[in-house]
Amino acid sequence: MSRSHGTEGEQAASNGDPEEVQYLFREPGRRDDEREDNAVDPRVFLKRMRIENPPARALATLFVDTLVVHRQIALVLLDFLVFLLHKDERVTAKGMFGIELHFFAMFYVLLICVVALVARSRSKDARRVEQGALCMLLLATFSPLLRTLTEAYSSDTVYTLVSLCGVVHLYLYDYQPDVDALRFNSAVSLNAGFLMSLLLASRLETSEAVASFLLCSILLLALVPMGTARASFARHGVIAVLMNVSLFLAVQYGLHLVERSGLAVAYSVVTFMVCVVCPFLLWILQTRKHVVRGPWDVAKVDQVELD
Amino acid sequence: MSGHITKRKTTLALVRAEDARLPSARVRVVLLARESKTCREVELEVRRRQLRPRRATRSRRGEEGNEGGEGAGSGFYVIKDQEPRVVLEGGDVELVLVQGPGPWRLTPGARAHILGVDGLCYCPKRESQAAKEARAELAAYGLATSSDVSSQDDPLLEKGLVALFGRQDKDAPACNAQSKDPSRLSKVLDTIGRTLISCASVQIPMVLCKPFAFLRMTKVDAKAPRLRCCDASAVVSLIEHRGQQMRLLAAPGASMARYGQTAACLVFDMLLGVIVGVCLTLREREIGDFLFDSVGYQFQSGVMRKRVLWVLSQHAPLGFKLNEGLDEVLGNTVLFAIESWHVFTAQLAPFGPQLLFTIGVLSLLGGGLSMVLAFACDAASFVTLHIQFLYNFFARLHRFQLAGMSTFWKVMRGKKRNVLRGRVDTGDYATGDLLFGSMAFLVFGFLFQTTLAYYVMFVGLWLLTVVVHGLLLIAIKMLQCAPIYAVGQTVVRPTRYPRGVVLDLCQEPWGAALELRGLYIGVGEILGAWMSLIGPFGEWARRHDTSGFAAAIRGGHQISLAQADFPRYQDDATTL
Repeated sequence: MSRSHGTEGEQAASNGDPEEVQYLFREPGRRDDEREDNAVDPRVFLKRMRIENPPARALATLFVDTLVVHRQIALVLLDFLVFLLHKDERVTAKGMFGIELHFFAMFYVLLICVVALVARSRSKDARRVEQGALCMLLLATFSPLLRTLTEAYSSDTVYTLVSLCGVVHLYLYDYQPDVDALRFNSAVSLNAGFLMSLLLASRLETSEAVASFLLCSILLLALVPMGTARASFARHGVIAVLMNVSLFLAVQYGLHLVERSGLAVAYSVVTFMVCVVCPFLLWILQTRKHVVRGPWDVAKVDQVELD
Repeated sequence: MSGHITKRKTTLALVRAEDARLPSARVRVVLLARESKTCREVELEVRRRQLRPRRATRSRRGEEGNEGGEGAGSGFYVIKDQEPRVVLEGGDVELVLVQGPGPWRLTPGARAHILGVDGLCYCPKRESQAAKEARAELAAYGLATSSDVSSQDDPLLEKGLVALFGRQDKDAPACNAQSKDPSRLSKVLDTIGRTLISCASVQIPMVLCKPFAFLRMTKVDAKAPRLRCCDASAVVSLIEHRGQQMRLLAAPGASMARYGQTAACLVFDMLLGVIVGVCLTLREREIGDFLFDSVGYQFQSGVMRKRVLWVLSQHAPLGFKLNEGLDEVLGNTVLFAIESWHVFTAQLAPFGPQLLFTIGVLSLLGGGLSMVLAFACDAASFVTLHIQFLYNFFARLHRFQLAGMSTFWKVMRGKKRNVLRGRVDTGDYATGDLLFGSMAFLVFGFLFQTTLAYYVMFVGLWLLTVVVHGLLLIAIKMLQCAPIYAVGQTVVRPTRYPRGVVLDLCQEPWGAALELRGLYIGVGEILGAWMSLIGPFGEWARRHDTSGFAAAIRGGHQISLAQADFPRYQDDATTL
């Protein structure tokens, strides 16, 4: 396979041999206003291609990267499972509330400890605790109102809206968040997730169940992703695999508990597709790619010599 | 018919103009020559002078009969040529049009004097017996002499043209009269008028008469927290209007037309008021019962309760999905307001017949039908006060919900409004903010239909109230500007209001002659112009145009009527 690289502008790939791999880059502009974000120094372009791409595009790495997607799907399903448990009265609101309080406490302690290793800020800790307390107060105040919001609507309408919100949440979720920021880059995704939980909560029978369920939703949809993004050890391959396997088993057990076998099968299929089939397909596509547009492009780059 | 065209220039003298009372006017004459196809236009100034025949010829004046209309007091018009003169050459005059007050007509005698009119020439070339008689007649009326008028008034007199009149008509408009000392009656009327205006202009705190407007005031508007009584009530505004009418009747320099219009409207209003007042004073109980059963029924507690319960029902009116809890709260609030108001008005109900009797007496004493209508206007406002309160409340709630949904929808998308830049920018929200935003958006969204149902119901009721109020105000305004005087004048004297003149050629034994026919405004035209005021008054009564109405209803903005004020007298001769 022969190789060539472009100088200015894009090289016409259609004229070349289909087997030929073309590496495209744009020379940076001479003035600041002409410089683009994706400008690459041609002297180090190929070197960066060789260094950055191959390790990140190994099959194992691709498998690990898809675990983030699976994690989010599992969390959404867990959220739905908790709703079903509340609705079928398999768990009590007080019991769930107690469990959730424990989780919240653990989360905050973990967060404070993690933050303390890097930098200690008492005001930020206090602010986080204050925000948490405010959230709980809001839930306690509005849960009677939230319980009756969708009384006049049919269940089909509500569940359709829930499904739509779930899809929007998963589609727009930021799977590569900024690890330095303790907030969500994709507000729409998070709001869609909250909406989904609020709609589900409006179908519960008691205000305590509503508050308990919403607290659990905050834990699952907001704090867990935030914590895993923040904690560097969670991005380690083995830890990520163990976490996802645990989530998978927990979801399967829960679906079995609420007697939703169809959903369990569908979840298994989706997991297999997301975690196995799709990465493998992507890995194959990378080897067949013949137009590489930059260091950020997913491709398999052979060893090339610098000019 | 044809006229012999010469180039001689002279002045056209017209006599026996019928019933025109304007002191002077400008007349436009358009002359068209057929053969040469030329057209000329000339502006002529007409000055009217009183015709005062001398004693010796008064009997002859009676013999003139119907040639022009009335006897002494009829006017003669003289045209003064204006520079530059217009000359038509060749051909027959096909059409001549004169625009201006009139009518205009040539008597045979006057025609005899015409040797040529800018482009138009008449026979005879020598004076006939008829011409001599006409000349003598004019001399009897002082037309042939120049002793009464100085040459400065009429520069054409030097050329031996027709002289001007020297004395004013005794029926000339009052504005030409010199100011006179006011009579005792005028002083009394003026005093009464001033008293009425002062009473009506008393300032009262806005919070008492317009509490809702007072609550809506911002800090900028807080500078004027006081209103005049006449701005708050139609009855008080009518009292102020009566005061102005009294002052106008007492004014020494008022024009005849305005004076007549005011007096005629007042008398007409009072006559109608007498009829209605008699009915009210004699049959106050029956009328009160009828009003209560017809109009009051719609606002009775039971009927309003049924309407609210219809909205509260589980059948979801108009397909609205109502939230049970909020529905119950709002419904109970509405029912409480309605019941409270009805408890209050029930205390006043026994005084209804006495109130109607009082209004009847007031209308008999000079208030007129306008007083009854103004009272009905204020009564409508008072009876529907609870509707106005509830409409204001639900309009504000609707506006608040729309604003909330807009704001939290932006939060849902991670945006916020940049007030400084006037645009929507990306917002930086914490997790708690996003949670609260989602919750609030859901709450606003799912509760919107419930408040919308109540808003729609009370918008409908309020619009009905506004329409009734507006119709009453329009009726009052129409009554105040009814053209009684103009119609009466036109009926008595059809040529009272000229609006144009047609000059036509006619064939006389001695040749071609000009005949001017006047066009007059008839009773139908006057009434039609009066009725056409309904449209502008309707626009005045509304605050918004059609598109504004729709936007106001959609956005929950206030819909109200303009303040009740009655036509102010201008300095024009007539009000139409």
